[in-house]
Parts: sequence; C-alpha cells; structure tokens
Amino acid sequence: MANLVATDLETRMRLSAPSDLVELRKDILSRRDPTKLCVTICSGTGCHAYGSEEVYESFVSEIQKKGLQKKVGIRRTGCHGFCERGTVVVVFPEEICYLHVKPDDIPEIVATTLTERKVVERLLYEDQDGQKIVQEGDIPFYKHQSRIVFGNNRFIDPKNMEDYIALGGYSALAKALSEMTPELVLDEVKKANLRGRGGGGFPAGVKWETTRNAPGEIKYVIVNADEGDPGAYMDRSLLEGNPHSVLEGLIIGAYAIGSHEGFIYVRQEYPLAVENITIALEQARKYGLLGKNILGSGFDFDVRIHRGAGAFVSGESSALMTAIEGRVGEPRPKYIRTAVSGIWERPSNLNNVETWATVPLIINKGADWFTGIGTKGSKGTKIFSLVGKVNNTGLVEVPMGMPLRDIIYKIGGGIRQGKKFKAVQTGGPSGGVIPERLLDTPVDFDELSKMGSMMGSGGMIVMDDTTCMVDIARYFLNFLSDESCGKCVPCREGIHKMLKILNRICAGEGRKGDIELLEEIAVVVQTSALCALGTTAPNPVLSTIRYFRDEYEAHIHEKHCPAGVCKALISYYIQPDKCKGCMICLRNCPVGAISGGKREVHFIQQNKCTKCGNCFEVCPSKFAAVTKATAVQLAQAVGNRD
Amino acid sequence: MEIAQKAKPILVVEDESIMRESLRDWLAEAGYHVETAEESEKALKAIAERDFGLLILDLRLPGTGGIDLLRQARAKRPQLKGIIITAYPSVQTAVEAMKEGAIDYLPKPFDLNRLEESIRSTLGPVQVEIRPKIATEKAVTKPSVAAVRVPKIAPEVPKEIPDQLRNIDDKSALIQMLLAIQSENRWLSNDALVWVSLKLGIPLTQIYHIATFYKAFSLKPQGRHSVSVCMGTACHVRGATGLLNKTTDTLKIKPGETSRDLQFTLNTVNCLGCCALGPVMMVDGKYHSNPSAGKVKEIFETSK
Repeated sequence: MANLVATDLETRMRLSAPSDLVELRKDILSRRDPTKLCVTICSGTGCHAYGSEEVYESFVSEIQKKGLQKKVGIRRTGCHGFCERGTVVVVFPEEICYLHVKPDDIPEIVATTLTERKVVERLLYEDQDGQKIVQEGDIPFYKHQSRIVFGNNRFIDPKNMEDYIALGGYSALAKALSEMTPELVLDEVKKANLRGRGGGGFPAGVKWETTRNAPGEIKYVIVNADEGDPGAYMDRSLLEGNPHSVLEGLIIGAYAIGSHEGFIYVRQEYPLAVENITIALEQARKYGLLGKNILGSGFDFDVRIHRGAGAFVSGESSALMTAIEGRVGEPRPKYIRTAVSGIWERPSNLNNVETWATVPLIINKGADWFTGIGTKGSKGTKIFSLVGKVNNTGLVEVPMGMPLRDIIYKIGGGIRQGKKFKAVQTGGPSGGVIPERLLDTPVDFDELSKMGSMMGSGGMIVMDDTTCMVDIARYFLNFLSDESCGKCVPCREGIHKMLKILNRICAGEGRKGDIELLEEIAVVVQTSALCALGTTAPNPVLSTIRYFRDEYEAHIHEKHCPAGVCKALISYYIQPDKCKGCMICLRNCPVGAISGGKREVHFIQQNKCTKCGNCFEVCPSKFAAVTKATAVQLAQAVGNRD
Repeated sequence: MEIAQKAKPILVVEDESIMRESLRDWLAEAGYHVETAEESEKALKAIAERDFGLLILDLRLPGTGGIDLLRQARAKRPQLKGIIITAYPSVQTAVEAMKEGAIDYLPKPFDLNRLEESIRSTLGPVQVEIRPKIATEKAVTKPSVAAVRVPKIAPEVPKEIPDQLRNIDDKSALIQMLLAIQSENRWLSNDALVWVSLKLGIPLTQIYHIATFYKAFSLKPQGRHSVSVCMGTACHVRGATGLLNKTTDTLKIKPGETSRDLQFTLNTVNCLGCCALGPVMMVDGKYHSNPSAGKVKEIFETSK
C-alpha cells in the first residue's frame, strides 16, 4: 500500500491552481468506495504501547489467509483519543468500535465481522448498566465531545496525504490563496478571536498582526510542538495523527503574515511525530503545496523541522527561538516581543500545534461559525488530556465553557474504583488545582485563571482522596526546580527554597509559619522572575494552600498525611483479623520485613520496613488486610494486639 | 577579509589550544587584528618588539601567570590594557588583577558579546565594517550571525561522527548534529565535541554549555538498553514512584546510572506522552503500562 501511494504521488503533476486540488480530490474519491469494508486500527502512542502494531500485522496476515485483500481495506490511523481502552479498532462503513483489542482477537473479528458481517459482542463498549454499544460515536466518552479539530484523526492514515485531501484537506489554503488577501485572512482570524492554545491564551490574530507589521523583510512562522507539560499529550497526538492539518494552518498563517520560511520545533522524544511530519512535508512539496508559487498564487513558503533536545523551559517562546538558532534554549527578557524580534532578531510568530490546526477550520467555515462555539471570551473548542484517577482516560475535545463536572463525570465516567473526587489539576506545572466545590465552573481561559489555575496546554489530571495535595505541590516544585534554567535568581532560588520547605513538611518536620513563608516567597517569585516558567511556578503551591490549607496544617501540626501518601508520616500495618495468611505480601516484600507462615497471621516488622507499599498493592482486594496507619493509629493498633 | 590596518593588534595569551584558536578566529571574524602566544615568555618577547592595543590573558599559564605577565608588560608599555580570563575565578585574583590595571576579569565560560563590549570600550569600534557584506550576501537564506566560516584546521574525523554530518558547517545545525552523534553512539565523547567545535567554529565551552543543558545528551557512555521511567503528573498520581522503586530494585542502579555490565541505563523522564496509561516506563522505545514487580523483572530479562 505504501509503495502504491509513493508511485502514485510521483507520477502526479504538481497542483498549479486551486482547480487542480478540486480535481485531485474528485479523483481520489472516485477511486474510493464508501461502502467498502475497511478496518482502521488506532496507531497513536497510547495504542502503540498496547501493541497496536501486532494487531495490525495480525489483521494483515489473517485477511490474507482468508483471501479478503480485495474486499477489505486496512488503515493505521492517528489517535482516536480513548487511550484507556486501546487498542481501538473501528470497522467501516458501520463504524463498529472494538476496544481493548489484542492480536488473539483478530481471527474472530475477521471471521465474524468481516466475513459473516456480525458483531463480536465481547469486544464492544459496555456501559454501567451492562448495555453494549456498537458505534464509536454512541459511547458516552465520545458522545459528549465535539471533535472538530481532533475528530479527523480517526479517518486518516497520517502517512498518506490523499486521506487528508479526501476529507477536504487544503481547501482552506486554496480558498485563502485564491479568494482572500492576506489582510482578509488576518481579519478573519482576528474576528474569530482565536486564542493561543499553548498556555497564555493570547489572541493569535493580534500576534500575527504584530509580526506582519514589524519592520523587516524576512519573517518567520513557527509551530511549537515542544509539549513538555507532564500529563499532556494532545499536541503530540495531533501532530502524529493529522500532520497536514497543522501544516495547512501554518501555510495560511505564513500567507497572512508575509513569511516565507517556517519552523516546526518538535520534541526529540516524539519520534513518531517527527516521522509523520517529515513525511507530510515531503508529500506537500511533491504536490507543490510547499515551495515556490503555491497553487499558482505566487506565494512562496517552505518549512524546516527542528528537533528539541528535551528541556521544559525551551518551550517558552524566546527560549525556543534561541534553540532554533542553535544555542542553549534559555529565555531572554522580552522587552521587545518575539513577534517583533525573534529568531535571528527577525519578526517571528509562534503558535502551538492545536492553534495552527484550528486555522483551516476558521478559514473554511468562517469566523461567525467559530465564534458560535464557546464562551464570551474563549471561542471554539479545546482538546484536553483527561488523565489521572478517572475511569475513561484519554484525549477529549469539548467546546469552551463545558463545566468541569461534565468533562470528568459524563466523558470521563467518574472516579476510578468508586473513590471520592478530591481535585483536578489543570495547566501543568504552571497551573493549579481546583476543588470539588468549583466543579460546576465552565472551563475557559478566564474562568480557570480566576480559580488560580490556568488553561495551559490542556492537561487535566484528576485526583481522588488518595492523592496528597502537599505532595502534589512538592511534586511540581521538584519538576520546576529541575527545569529552571537558572538564569534568573528569583526562579532558581525561590523555587529551591519553596521546595525545601515542602520537603520538610512532607517529611513530618514542618514548622509553624511554614505556610505563611511559602506564600511570601511565592509572591516574590511571581512578581520578579524573568519568564513565564518562573512567574507561574508558585501556582501549584498557592492554589493547594488556597483550597487545601487544612491538609498542610495536618502535616505540620498533627504530623498526619490525610491521604496516606507521605512516607514519613505513615506506616503499613496488617490487620490481624483480616489477614488470611496467604503469603502473597510476604513473598513480595523486597526487604523481608514481613514475618509469618502459611495460614499464619502476617506481621510487619516496622524497623525493617522501607514503606515501599508493595504489600499494600498486592494484598488481594477481597481481604484488604494491609492498611496505612499514622504513627498514633499504629501505636494504638499494636497496643490492642498486645 | 580586509582588516583595519591602523588599529593596534590584540594579543591573546592562552595555553589551551582550543580556547586560544577559538578566540583568535572569533576576534578575526569580528574584524580585529589578532596575534597569539601560548606562554608568557613568547608573549613578553612580542610585547618588547611591537605595540599592542590590548592583551587577553589567561590567569593560569605555565611559568609566569596572567597577572604577573600584565604587570611586566605594563612596566614596559604603561598604556597597555589587559583582560584576564580564567576558569578558576576567585575574589582575591580578581582584586589583584584590577590592581594591576586589568580592565576586565571574565570567568570562563564567558559570553563573547560581553568580551566584545570590553574590547570595544578599550579599542573603539572596528574600523572596517565587514559584517554587512556577509549579511547581504547571505541574507536571503542565512542570517548574518550564522555566517559560515571554514575552519583553519582540518581535524581528523573521529569514528563517532556519523557520515551525514561530515559536510555540515552551519552553526545553527549544532543541536541537530549533537542529537545525531548522541543517537549513533549513545553518548558525546570529548573527541566528538572537539571536532564539532572546530568544524563549526563554535567555542568548546559553548558546546559543553549545550551538551549539559539538555536532557537528551550524555557525557558518559550509556548502557546498551535505555530504560526511562515516566515521572509525569498523570503517572505520579497513579504510582510512578512505586514503578521507579521496582526498577531500581531490579536493576540495582539509581536514576542516571548505568549498570556495571553496560547493559542498562536508567533515567527518569518528565513525560513520555502517553499519560492515559500511567504509570509507564519505556525500554528501548517500547512502552510498558503499569507492570508488576514480576513483569518488570521479566522485561529486563528478555531485553538482554
């Protein structure tokens, strides 16, 4: 198939006018039969981890074995978003959706679904009432989303540009180049009030205009795919799954700004994204969608890929541009904005992957359509990475303004193992936590900021009552102190000092006044750090103190970790009345701290125990004999036993 | 390249060849007339023979040190100015240098712009403008700061350098070159870095700055198999610490270390980008979602 596509491409003529693109699309569609059976296998990173490659190969060999090659198409697509249930397989034209597919399931799918045209019940989604759901779109996880940017992923083989064109790809570019002046494109994006999806939410149109009007002939446009936020992976999935949509947005932006050279800055850790965007660029060049005189418009533009070498701070705009120049990716003071003086001191416009991918939609459907979605200040949709202690983890795209509760409960299916919701963390290390009482707040740029968090790039990490909020603050500061480039003192020293205090609190050595001291340092860092990494670094601390001050106080005054996370403040204890003497925990203890024998009640020797928690994890849930106890509880329990 | 003939030359005294040559090349490119000496005696001889506009002196030199050299030079020519550079900065030597008439004291690694400022404040601006010429020639495809310069020494190519890098001489390609060398050899050897430095005409200090700044680079040989445990937030709340403990228990090494048999290198990373599956680890590019202690052992056994 890959070979076929390649030769197909090479023999095809360059597209030298918008009408050529329309012809090409017609031609592609005429060669495709919408009623033909087609198996699509999600090959996003999540499903890859579950072994989607093996699933694909099993399909190929099984279909060959049954001689169905002519009747059935196979396509490896981008991420479908429901990563929790990977590998996701969808059979077209009925869109029968199978979840958790393993290579062993393939013969049955081929025999039942592809040959007999029946559904394999056991691989379908089952809702809480035991109802089986056949079609992907009816699964609650998808039903409540509106996937305008991310939705095409599931139809497209990201390595095949024809798939994108078949869905109307590059028609927005053709429209912009042939029917609109650069000013009109700019006006449309400004009117749509498209705000940057990378974090700050700065209006993209305004930024474009600044770069357009900045003095200098040479200007650059850049895709920021240096997604360093721990807990977020939507940009990766978009770039991997639908690279042409990002590229199309970038070319349109370049046209509006008057730029002839672009960069895609992508993390080295995302090899599949690098591969797919590289292929996409090659294909676009072959068709003449990049290079000289694009679609006969006289507009020239080309793109280079720059791989980032893994430093969170390099995702900051000025740092990223320094890295593209080949120097250390450290931020610089932005008295002059990068839109005016960026790469090699030339005007440079940077937007993230999702922002660029939204642009073609706005051009095609118009600003009025776009502003019809979302809230007053935030238009359109946003992709979130819904992860953590929620039942349905994955990537979700919802209109701006959807309440957090709907995202977590309707789409996410509630909290795992029936536990109690405690908080949701948004905005990555620069964001904050949001407690249960604010769950009905609509999610948009401004509301999140008001709650002391931020949109960030869209990480949404759900936490239950076994998550310690002091530990979360400590976790983020630990991350930030690692990632701080050290150039400015408030960030380097401020984060370090705050981390030291939090470490102390988690170790049970918190002192009276520590909370106030944290707040004081936080304000200093917020007001005086050089770049956004520093000024937002105190957010995790301030927001956890704001909403969970009682947990801090419990750690400091009672030496008690309510969530049972902080190692120094808990002990593992086997309840004698519940222990069945099954030996499982005893065998799994790495330090031999558990004594007892078969059918004998086990006992943890506290002086040997390293509190690794293995026993707690492995104790069969029907016994649940191992518990976490505070020092006081432990003394009482041991006292009772004696 | 035309050089201002009237300006007095700068004398660079530095025993470390890379530093000396990098400085010489960089100053020459900036339009200054430069002479070099690798030790004090040669420098003194040169100073006795002709006049210099400025001395750039390394603090620690074999024989007479930079500060003493400055004193002796100024005894001969009192109008002479000097800049001390050093990798061993201390308050004491800085004060001493200033007392001996040094106009600046720069700890290595230093920013070339900073050095240029100092030079300019002493010698005035370069009289012949050569930069715009390069800039207009290259402006369309390549901006002036990245102007390409052919190194004067053609060093032997170390075996670590992948073939496709041998003809690159674009300064902005530095990080991309280092990534290629890293992925080919699993580390960056000093030989390789020296070669890159000479090839691109970028000071070695600057290359080390980059090589130590980014997580993707390692200055020590890495194990045959790379193990990355994700410490991202989503993995953290779902038990990344437990998974890390399981791997350290099994491999008997800490994060950042390589096992003695050079089989495994263990690293913690901030996000592997498949947050829905947390906690995750990656062994040789393959992802494993929440493996049990037994499974962890099995993964390492089978990958050997």
